[in-house]
Amino acid sequence: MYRLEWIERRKLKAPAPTFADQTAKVSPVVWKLGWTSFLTDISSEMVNSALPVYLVIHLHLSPLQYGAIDGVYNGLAVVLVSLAAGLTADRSKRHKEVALAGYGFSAICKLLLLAAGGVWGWLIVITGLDRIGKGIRTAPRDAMISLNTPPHLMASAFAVHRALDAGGALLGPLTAFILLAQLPGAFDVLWVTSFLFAILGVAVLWLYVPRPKEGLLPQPILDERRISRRSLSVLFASPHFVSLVGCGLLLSVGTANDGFIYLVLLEKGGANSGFLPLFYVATAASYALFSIPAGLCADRFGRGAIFLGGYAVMGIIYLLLLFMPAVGLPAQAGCLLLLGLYYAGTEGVLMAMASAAVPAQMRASGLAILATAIAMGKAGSSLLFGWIWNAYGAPSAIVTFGAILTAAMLAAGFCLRLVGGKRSHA
Amino acid sequence: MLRPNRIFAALCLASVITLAAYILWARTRSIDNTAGASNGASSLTEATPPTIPTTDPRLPPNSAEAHGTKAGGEPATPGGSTQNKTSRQIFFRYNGVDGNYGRLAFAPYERLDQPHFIETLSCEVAHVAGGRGICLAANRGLFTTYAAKLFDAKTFKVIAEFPLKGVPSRCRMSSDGKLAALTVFISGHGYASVNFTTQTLLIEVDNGRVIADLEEFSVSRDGQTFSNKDFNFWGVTFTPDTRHFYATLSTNRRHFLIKGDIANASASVIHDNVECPSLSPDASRVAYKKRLTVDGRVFWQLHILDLKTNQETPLAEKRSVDDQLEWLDNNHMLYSLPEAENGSSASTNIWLAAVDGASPPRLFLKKAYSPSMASLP
Repeated sequence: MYRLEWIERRKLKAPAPTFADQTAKVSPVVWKLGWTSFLTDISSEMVNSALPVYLVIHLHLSPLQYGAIDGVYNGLAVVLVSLAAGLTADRSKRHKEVALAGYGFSAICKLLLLAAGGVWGWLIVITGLDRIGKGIRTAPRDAMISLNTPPHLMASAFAVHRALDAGGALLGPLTAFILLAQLPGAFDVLWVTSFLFAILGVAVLWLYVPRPKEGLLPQPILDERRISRRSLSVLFASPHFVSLVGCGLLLSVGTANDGFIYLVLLEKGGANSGFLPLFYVATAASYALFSIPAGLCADRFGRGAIFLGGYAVMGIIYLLLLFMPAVGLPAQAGCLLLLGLYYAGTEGVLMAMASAAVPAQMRASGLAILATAIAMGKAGSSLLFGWIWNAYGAPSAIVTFGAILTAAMLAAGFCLRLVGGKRSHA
Repeated sequence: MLRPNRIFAALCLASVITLAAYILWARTRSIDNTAGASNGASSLTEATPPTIPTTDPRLPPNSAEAHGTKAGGEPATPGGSTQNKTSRQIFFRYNGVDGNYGRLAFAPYERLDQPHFIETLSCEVAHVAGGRGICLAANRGLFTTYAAKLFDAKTFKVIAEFPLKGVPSRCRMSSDGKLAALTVFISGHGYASVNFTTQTLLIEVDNGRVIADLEEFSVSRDGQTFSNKDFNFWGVTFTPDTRHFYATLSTNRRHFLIKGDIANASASVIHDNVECPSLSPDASRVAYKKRLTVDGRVFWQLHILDLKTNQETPLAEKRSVDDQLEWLDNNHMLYSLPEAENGSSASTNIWLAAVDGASPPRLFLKKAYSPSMASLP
């Protein structure tokens, strides 16, 4: 309360609040959720980067197979559990507990890694299970972010969370590389470290994050008991929500999986796959760097504009991949910087827009539906990109995706203008 | 707010202590190396039903552990116990996830469940013949670099070492151990992709000097000079006299078998659709992967080409194999396949196929890749 008053006073003196004020206004709960994600991402990314899955899979699979595994595996995990988790969170009003279950599940997976010994097959299955944990926790956690945030700061709040999340994705691989450099081949030390980070992440959520305050919730418009599969129809009756889901789905179909962008960069640049771990880290760094500025701008200048701007950045990446004659190291770094910028402009901002379009009682379910749509779009996108690449080569795939993205952006621009015109914070 | 702080502080402290203790334990373990090596050996044993064509004298896992341990401290000598006569050793890259991950390993052909691990050599691919070996190694990190190491197959001392320009793919020794050949991907990531470039080098083992880049060879086809900008070479296999070799030349989406003359720096096309050739010990046949397209995907069917009659015979292996085969003798070959049927696995097993094209392929060694068979005195 004290902090809010202070900001109010400052506002009176200087009518336009600075970006620093805007960041300071983001609820401490959001920061804590961010730290939970930070620790959890260190935990999971150190496992992902250490398992030579990146390299080995790239070396042994055709683009189609790679796309199928990466996209579909990811997509399925989210589709299977995220909607159920979202509904459960809304119906029981226990977002925190459902999110805890998801984070806890992932932590247990890290212990299982230790139990799996040296069996590759199990390690891969367990990293798959880990993604189910992600599917469980994402929607309730995003709902908690939005329920602890006033509408005009929605994008800033998501930006803070995503910046910390990306920070974890940046530090995870670094931790893994340092550990493996010190203790070559000691994968079990990695699994133990990863488990401990996961436990700390769960602890931050459990100890420091309160349940969503009732005071922040708007007036109930639905009987709580009626939040069920049937009442999802209420969500789909909202043109704003439906258009957001539709736009999200379309745009994600037109977006090439990171892995493919990295592969194209490698193939064009004459760089070898040794760069791959660095690519992941560089993208995370750029995302962490741009996330908060992008979120603040979104709240200030309009979320729809920043959101479409993010996809325009993806379009620029396509153009660069197509027309750059030979990709040197600076150009590759530039592409990765743009990729992080794309994430910063789109991921959290879409969740912020969706949060503004879904009633508080159904927040987790609504965000889960959106996440599911995007996951399905991404799975389809991966299959399509892999197939075109295999059959006609990478340039054809990029041209096709550029066309899909352009069409999706036009449609999204039209939709967002149509439904967003009525709301100030679309 | 005090209680959560205390709990969290306690948790952090517990984590740090646990981690420190575990790292300390892992360090002592890696110093005397008993735990790591025996883990590797036992898990390998457990998973290895060595279906060897001749005999299978399986020993209790305990003795396998003991042998695995031995390799840690000092390099073990291949064929140590049977020094008076030639012994056949299988060299391979160990793929199990433990302290020996990625290391070069070898086991007597009769005792595949007793691998020795070479602590100083971790290889993406390796090949041993004529008392020498080549190991294409990766220095992993945020930025991975690759190097070729030529080593003595008895002492495992590195004779020569030089950096590679790309991701290791294939390597072969000549049967006398004097020459080595290697292929790396300069760009691209696999033979199934559409755009990739390879570099294939021939190396003099004694001094590690690159004596030829196959791109510089003059190639002829049906007596005519044959040259294209998109030439890519890979998968060298030497003839027993080490004066010639066979390899794959790809251009314009076709994959030719070439026979090269090292002294003349020349090569001629002798067959179509042959990838990663491997010459039989009697030099009469080439085992290779033949590229087919099934539902828009690349599928490699293993074949044998009789060099005299030009007759192609498919092997009984019905799965797609992306590997350069290794002849065990004139009738059997080894090759690697992903552990999982659908190719989603990160590990590979080594399989054995018979030349007759009838008897089904057999699992030879688990968690292993890049096999080579070396007869050591």
